[in-house]
Amino acid sequence: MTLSMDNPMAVMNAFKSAMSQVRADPPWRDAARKHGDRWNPYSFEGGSTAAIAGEDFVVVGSDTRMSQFEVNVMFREAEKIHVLNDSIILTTSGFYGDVLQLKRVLESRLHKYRFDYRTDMTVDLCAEMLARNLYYKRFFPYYTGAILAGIDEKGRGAVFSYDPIGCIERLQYSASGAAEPMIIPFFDCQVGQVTVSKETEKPALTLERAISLVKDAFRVAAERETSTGDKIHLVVAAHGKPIHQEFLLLRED
Amino acid sequence: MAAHQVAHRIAEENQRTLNPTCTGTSVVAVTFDGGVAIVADRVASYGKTARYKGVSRLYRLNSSTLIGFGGDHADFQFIQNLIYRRAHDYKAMCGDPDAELSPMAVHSYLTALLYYRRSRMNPLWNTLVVVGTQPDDEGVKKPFIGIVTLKGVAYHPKYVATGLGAMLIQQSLETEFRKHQATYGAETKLTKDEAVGLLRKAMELVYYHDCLAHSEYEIGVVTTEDAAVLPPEELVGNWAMAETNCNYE
Amino acid sequence: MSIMSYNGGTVIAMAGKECVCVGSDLRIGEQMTTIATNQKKIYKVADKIYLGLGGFHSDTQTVLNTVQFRKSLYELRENRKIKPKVVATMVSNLLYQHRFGPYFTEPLVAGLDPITNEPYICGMDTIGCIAAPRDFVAVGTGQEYLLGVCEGFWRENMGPDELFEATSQALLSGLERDAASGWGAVVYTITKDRVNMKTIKARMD
Repeated sequence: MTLSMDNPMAVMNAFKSAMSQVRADPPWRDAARKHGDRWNPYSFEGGSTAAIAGEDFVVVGSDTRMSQFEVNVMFREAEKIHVLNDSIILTTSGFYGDVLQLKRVLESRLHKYRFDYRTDMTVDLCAEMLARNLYYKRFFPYYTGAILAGIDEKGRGAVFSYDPIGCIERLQYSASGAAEPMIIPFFDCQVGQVTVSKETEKPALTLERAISLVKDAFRVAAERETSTGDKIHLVVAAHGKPIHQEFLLLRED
Repeated sequence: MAAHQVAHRIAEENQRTLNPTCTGTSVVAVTFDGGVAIVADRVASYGKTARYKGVSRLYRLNSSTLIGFGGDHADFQFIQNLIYRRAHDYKAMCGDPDAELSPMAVHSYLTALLYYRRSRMNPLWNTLVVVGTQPDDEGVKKPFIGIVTLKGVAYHPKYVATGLGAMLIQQSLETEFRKHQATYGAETKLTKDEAVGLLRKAMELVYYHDCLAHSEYEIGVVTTEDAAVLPPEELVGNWAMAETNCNYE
Repeated sequence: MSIMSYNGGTVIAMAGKECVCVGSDLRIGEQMTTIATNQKKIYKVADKIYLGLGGFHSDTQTVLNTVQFRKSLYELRENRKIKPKVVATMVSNLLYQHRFGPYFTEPLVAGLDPITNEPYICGMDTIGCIAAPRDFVAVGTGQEYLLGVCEGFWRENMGPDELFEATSQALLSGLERDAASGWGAVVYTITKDRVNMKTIKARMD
C-alpha cells in the first residue's frame, strides 16, 4: 500500500499499527526468550508416596515434608494421603496446588455420586474417573503423580498408578514422587520378587510384611533423597475393617 | 500469529502481574494458647527501594480474623476489596449484620481464588497468611493459621515465616517451639506474651538479614475475644558489630 | 539426550568385611539401540583393584588406557604395588586435568589394599571429585535405582557370600527398571586370596 500525505489519517493509522506490532513482538525477542519469559504456573513441593496391594488389604505410605525451591523445608506435617471414603485412598506428589484441586474435584464427584446412588463409589470406578479427570486437562495438566488405592468390589487390595495426564495402570505396588526411582526397584525385589529364580521359596505378602516394607522404603528414601523426610504417613485399609492411619518419625535433615 | 493478535495478547499480558511492583516481604505468625500472633513490617518496596513507609500489611477483617500478606501491594488491595465484599454478602446471606466469616472460610476462598488466577495464567502475586480463631465442631475457638501462595499451594502450620523469612528464621521458630515443648511437655503452648516476644525476636532477625525489611513493624493478635492490630513499633537493633567489622574508615 | 546416557550402563561396588564386591551390566547401546550385549564395565587395574567406568564408552576406554599406563609406570618407578586409594587419586587427577573439557565418564574404584587387605571403594564425578563412603557406591544410568536398593540391603561387616548376594540383588533390581542397562550382569567378589567372577542370569532386554 502506498501512503501519501493526502490522507494523513491513513498514515497515522499505519504508523500506529507498525508501532504496536514492533512493541508487541520486538525482533530481538527470539523464540527462546519468548519461551523463557512465560510465567511458570507450576512449582514442586517434593516428597514421595508409595502403595502396596495385598490379597485383602492395601498399605499406602507417604512422607510429610513440603519443600520449596528444592532447598527449603516449608512445612513438616503436610498431608499427601487423602482418605476419600471407607474404601478409597488417594495419594499424590508433585505440585501441591494441583494436588489440592484434584482432591477437591474428586471429593465433589464422590459426594455427587453418593447423592445420586445412595452408596459410596468403589475404587474401581473412582480409578477410571480419576483417569478421565486427569486426561480432561491434557493440555494444561495437573502436575501430580497420583496413586489411587483401596479395597475393590471383590474385597481385594487395589493400587492404580497414573501419570500426570491420566495414563492408568492397575499394579500390585507403585511409588511416585522424588524418590520413585529408589523405592520402585526395592519393591520389585521384595514384593515383585523379580530378581530371584522361580524355584526359590518366596515369603508370602502378609499385611505385617507390607507395612514393614513401606516403612523401610521411606527410611531408604529419606536417607538419600533430600525432599523426602520428617514423617511417614501410613494408611492401611483391610477388607471389612476401618481404615487405620498412623504417623512415624523419619529423619528431618 | 497476526500482528493485531500478537498486540492483543501482549496487551493482555501487560494487564497481568508477572512482575510485581510495590512489594512487601516477610510475614511471621505463631499460634499460642488461645490465639495467634502475627507480625509484618510497615513498608512497601519498589524493587530494593523502601518506596512507601507506614503501609500496613496486616488487614483486620473481623473479630476473629487477620490477614497478612507478602508480595504485590496492588494485588492485595484488590483481594482486600473482594474479601470485604464477601464479608458483606455473607452478612446479607445470613440475614445477620453481626455474622462474620471464619478464618477457615476466608482461607478456603483465597485458596480457590489464587489457584483459579494462576490457572488462568494471571496470578495474584501474594503469599497470604490468614490467622484467627476457628470454632471447632463443639464451637470452641481454636487458633488457626492458613497459608496460601500465589500458585494456590495451601497449608495449615502451627508457626510460619513467609518470604525471605522462610529461609531465614523458620528454623529458629521451630527450634524455639521445640525447646518450649521439651521443657513443658508436647501439648503445652506458648503464652500470648511469649508468642509476641518470639515475634519481636523474629522481626529483629528478619531486619538484620533481609535488606527489604524495615525497622517499623506491627504486631497483630487474635484471641478468642477479639482481633487487633497493635500500634506500630520501631526496631533499633544492635549495630555494635559495625565498629569492629568495617573495612572502611 | 545427555552424552552421559548415550551408551547406557551401570556399575556398583559394595564393601564388606575384608572383601569388596563390584558388579556391572553387559549392555552397550547407542541411545535406544542395543549394539553389544557382552561389554563389562569393570576393568582389572591390579591384582585386587578394579576400576568401574560408567558414562560415554569411548571416553571410558581412553581413561582406562591412560590409567593402566600410569599405573604400570607408577609400579615400575616406585617398585611397589599400587594401593586402591592411589588408583583413585590417579584417576581423579587425570579427570581434573581435563576440568574444562572433561572425559564423560564417572569412574568407581573398588579393591583391597595389597598389604593390609583393607577394603576401599570410591566413586567420582566426571571431573574427579572423589567420594569414598564406607558402604557402597553406584555410577551410571541406573545410579538412582541402585542407591535405593543398596540403602536397604547393606549391612556392616558382610562376609563375601552375603556381600555377593546383596550386590547382585541390588544390581538385578536396578537393571529391572533402567532401560539403558541390562542384558545380564557380572559381579566380582574380591577377597584377600582370590577374586571370584560370576555371571548372573538376568532378564535379557
